[in-house]
Amino acid sequence: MDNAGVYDLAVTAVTAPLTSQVYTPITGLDGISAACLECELLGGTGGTSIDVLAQTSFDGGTTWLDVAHFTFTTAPAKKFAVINSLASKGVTAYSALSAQADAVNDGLLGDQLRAVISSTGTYTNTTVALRAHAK
Amino acid sequence: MSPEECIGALDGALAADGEEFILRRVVGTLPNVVNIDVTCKGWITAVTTEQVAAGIPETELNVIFSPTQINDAQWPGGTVPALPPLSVDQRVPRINVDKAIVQGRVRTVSFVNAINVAGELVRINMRVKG
Repeated sequence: MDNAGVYDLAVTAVTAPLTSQVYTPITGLDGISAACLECELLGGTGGTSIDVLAQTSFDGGTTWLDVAHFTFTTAPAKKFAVINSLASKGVTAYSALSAQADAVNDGLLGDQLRAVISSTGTYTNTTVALRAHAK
Repeated sequence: MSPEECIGALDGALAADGEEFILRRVVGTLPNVVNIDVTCKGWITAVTTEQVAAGIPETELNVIFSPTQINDAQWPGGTVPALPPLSVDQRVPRINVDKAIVQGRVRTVSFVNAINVAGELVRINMRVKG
């Protein structure tokens, strides 16, 4: 791909509860064949849960599909997932990941990526980061 | 000149004579902070005698750079979009918020003049302190 590199899909402090907070997308990922997603929770005190969704789009950002779902509670943690769109895959029904903790839709990569963050409870001194190494 | 020509001319000059620095946005509160960095190429000079006479501390530095590296890295990444009609250009460094590692030292952005041509960001004149 032309623009391989590490991109910050969202780096944000989390305090008050978030309801599917959408972040602006990383665009221009034409030719992406894989993405290593890294999601990190720093701090984590005071709240209840944080859900971070990585999403992709095949239609220029009109509709978005879940790629990976990272879940956190109140402990600092770092999680990762690798999405590979080069491997052959049979016809698979798309399944939204919002109700599936720490799950991926492997192979599902359009030319844009974005983050959607939800949280419950009120966190203090907590930061969430979702990065993608697109290649 | 078109925006592309402006950026191309500045990039050409910076490629020949500029020096690298890191533009940094810091998110979170210590100790739970995350840095969002992008390495840029800029023309870095001490403030002029005219600027000092105008009251700008002589410890500050002028930094002139193009948006090319910022655009390539899509710095600072995904952000919460502003509600229309507001449209904040997140690529423009924030005064007294964003940092820059210039000549090996972490400094704070103290002034920014984002220059747009035909509605497109083509050049950033910045000062850093510290």
